[in-house]
Amino acid sequence: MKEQNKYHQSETEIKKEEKILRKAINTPSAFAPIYEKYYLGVFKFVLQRVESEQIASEIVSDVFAKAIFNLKKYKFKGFPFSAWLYRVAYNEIATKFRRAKRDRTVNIPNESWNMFQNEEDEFEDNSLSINIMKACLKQLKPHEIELIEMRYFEERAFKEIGEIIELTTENARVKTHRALKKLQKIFKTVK
Amino acid sequence: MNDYKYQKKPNESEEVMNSFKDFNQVLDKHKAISSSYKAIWRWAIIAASGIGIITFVFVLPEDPKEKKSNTTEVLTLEAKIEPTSNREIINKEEPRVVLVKNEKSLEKESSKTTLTQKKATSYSKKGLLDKINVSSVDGNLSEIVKTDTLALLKSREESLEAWFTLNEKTPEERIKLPTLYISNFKWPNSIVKTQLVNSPTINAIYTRVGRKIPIVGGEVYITELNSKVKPTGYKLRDGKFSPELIREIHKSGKNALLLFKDIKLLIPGRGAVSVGDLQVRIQIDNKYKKRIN
Repeated sequence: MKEQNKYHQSETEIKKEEKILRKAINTPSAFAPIYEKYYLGVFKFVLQRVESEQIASEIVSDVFAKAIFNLKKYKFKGFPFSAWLYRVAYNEIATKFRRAKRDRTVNIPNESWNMFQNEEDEFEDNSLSINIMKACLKQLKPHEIELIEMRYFEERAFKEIGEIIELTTENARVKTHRALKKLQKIFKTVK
Repeated sequence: MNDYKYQKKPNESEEVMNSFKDFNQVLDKHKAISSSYKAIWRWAIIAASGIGIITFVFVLPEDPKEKKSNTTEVLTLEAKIEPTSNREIINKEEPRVVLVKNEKSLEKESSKTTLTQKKATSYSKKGLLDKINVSSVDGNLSEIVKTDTLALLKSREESLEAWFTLNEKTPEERIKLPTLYISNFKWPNSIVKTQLVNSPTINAIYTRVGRKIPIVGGEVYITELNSKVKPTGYKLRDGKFSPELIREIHKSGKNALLLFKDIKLLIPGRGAVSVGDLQVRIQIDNKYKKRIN
């Protein structure tokens, strides 16, 4: 995930972004550069949590529309705008699934399997191991899944995770590690 | 435990993702959100103002300031009824009252006069005053305000009609109570004024055991039968009339009454017990007849 590296921006970039945002409060069309910049990142963030691209595209357009509408509420705290945007997306996804009375989807990338595999592991059949991982993940709490998902499936920085789910960086780190330990423990018992 | 749906991540193609990119759609959605919020606010403001108007018109009571000024006006008019050199009654057939203010009083109370006029206008709006005329009568008199107070006095009388009430205990009921002595007379109906002034006392005594019962409540009024104006009341304390009350008894006229209202005794074992009201007529003897004549 190359887009996640964009989270770390220079100060000039952040300030430039802020200028655009100030302008976009009164002129929504001025938001276009920000939309171009973060579209893919937000789309991937949403796609990670829904079943298909069509649903993701609907949610993404809602996310940007709401972001423009609530732009006056955004306070610049020295962080990139993307963190705030992801938080809007995070809340929007939660709202959508709550309204639809459905549970959301977790997309597991193939590479993520490696975090459970040890050298001695004998799983050759990939489909079997994926099923076991699903069974393990089901035993975690929703907020633990969020942390695992953001850190290991999306490879986000702890700082960014903290920004999205409104935790301090250190708290996000500690909670993520606890969730991972728990998952590994469950995995060992299942295995 | 969670009930999330887990699936293997589909291959992400940036081209596919970019095919959904449409900033105009975002702007359209933003417009829709803004307009819906505006509509909500518009209706909220309309509803709130509607409720406010309804509350103001139907629910809120009369302005307390105005109400207060009405009372003041009534009292002012009544005070002017007393005979003075600066007053003139016009049209004696009807109970009209003329308020006159000389130049000095006008200078002193110029602001008050303006206020009176304003209030008179407010009365006329309410139908309390039928007529207001302002005209010059004398060189010394700069202003005469003629006011038809019939309606005002009538309304005042109506409000006072209920004042004179008498709630006396029957003789059967009195037997069970301590005997009440006023100026050393047992449950009196009338007392000679001289006697009343010489021994201004009220006592309650259980005569069989010779025990005095303290009087803990009640008021005395000097009034006339079926009077509609409530006079000053004097509290009963220590079984003696207050000096003010004695002074008032001295001044009282032919038809004066002593009206004891709600006399309360502290009976041992029963607590505070009311012995009701008592009406005592003040008889004028020769000593006072001369004074009155």
